[in-house]
Amino acid sequence: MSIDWDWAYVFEILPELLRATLITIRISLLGFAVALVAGLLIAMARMNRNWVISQPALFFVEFVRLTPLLVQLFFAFYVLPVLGVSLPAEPTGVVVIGLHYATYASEVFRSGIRAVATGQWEASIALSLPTFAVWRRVILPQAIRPMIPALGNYLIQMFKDVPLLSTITVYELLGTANLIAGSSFRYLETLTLVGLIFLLLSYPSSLLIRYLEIRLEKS
Amino acid sequence: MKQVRKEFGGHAVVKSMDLTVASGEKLVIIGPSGSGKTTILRLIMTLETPDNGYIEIDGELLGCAWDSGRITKNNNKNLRAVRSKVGMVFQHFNLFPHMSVLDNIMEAPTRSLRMSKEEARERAIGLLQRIDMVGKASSYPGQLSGGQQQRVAIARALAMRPSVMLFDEVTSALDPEKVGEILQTIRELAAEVNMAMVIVTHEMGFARNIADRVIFMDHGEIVESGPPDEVLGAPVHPRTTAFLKAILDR
Repeated sequence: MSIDWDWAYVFEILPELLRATLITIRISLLGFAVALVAGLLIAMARMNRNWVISQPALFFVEFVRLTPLLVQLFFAFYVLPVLGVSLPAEPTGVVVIGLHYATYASEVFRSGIRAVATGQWEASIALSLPTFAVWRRVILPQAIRPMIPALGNYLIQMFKDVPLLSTITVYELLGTANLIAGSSFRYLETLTLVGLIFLLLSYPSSLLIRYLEIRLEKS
Repeated sequence: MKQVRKEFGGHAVVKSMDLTVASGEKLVIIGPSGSGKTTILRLIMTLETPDNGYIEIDGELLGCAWDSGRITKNNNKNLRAVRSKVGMVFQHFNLFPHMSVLDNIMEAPTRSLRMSKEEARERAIGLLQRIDMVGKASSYPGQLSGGQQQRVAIARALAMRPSVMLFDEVTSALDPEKVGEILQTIRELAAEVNMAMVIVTHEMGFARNIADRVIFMDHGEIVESGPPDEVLGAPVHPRTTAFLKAILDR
């Protein structure tokens, strides 16, 4: 069997695939921003002494983690509009994937916050610092540095999960590739390129995170 | 502090304690470990909440309120206001490691007292002069010796101008040769400012020298209380005598 690889076709579709790659990156970054903000709020809610605040946060985390991301995407895109909440495909995807990863990020935040010495909380109380200042000025600056590698790994994982959004009509990289290959019937080049693009972006990112990890261990 | 009681896991660490500290008074609390002396400081600093009784600072209830003749807990409204009259220096310094010495001292005045940056900086530099560390203003805590860190921690607490300062075994984590400089700093402070001090320490010479009154505590109770010459020089209670002998025989 001979493989029929068409370079001309590769260069023909490459610009469109790269444009779609930018959409994938955009979704990853926006989704990650949602994950960080929501993850921090979930972590703080779960650490609240009042169970009226901590229990719903725990329930949300368990619920999101114990159901598949794909099901959550379908639910948000096809069911929520029936209930009167309707967003375009891409924002829906960003929010769902962001909240999904927020539950994982919240665990990273929680352990990072726990790792800050209790003496730091006690000194903050002794100085009567307002709660907001305690978090923003004392606890988080110390908690975030050691979290960077773990959060970075979730960013890469999330980036690799973005193709799931193609199932709710978001034309990110995989969705676009499918569309192109569906009309030309040249799946070989198209999907090989998709795989290569993901690899070329994920691999350097994971190396960067390894490097950060080693640097943090040294300091 | 009236009838204050604190339990940990069913064990009363502080049993119905009544204690009054006069303004400007220097009170030293001594006693074996586990006697509840550190817990007293932590109760006053609101790091622990009493299971019973109440604490007043300058006539204001700390973290609680009267409600038709009964004490109710969690009065957060006045908690911060009343608490800011209390300052504390810890055994392990607890400086903010990611802030410079100057920022450590400026943090509370700017955030808690809402003082302007300029004013807070002026106050901080004044304090650094007092502890003889102006040259280290931009250093980070990790670059300082234990003794220097503890002096910064004292300055940081002083920046709030509290009416009561609590010192919790502030020399216990230091190298023996650094103990003297911290005690000297506290002695100078005691002579300069009219601020009440409650000091938990195992340094008996220092206690005798600085205290207006010494309390010996054991098993969560005050066993003996009086001027340093009496409690440390001529104790009447056998438990005090035994404790002092054990300390001096070290």
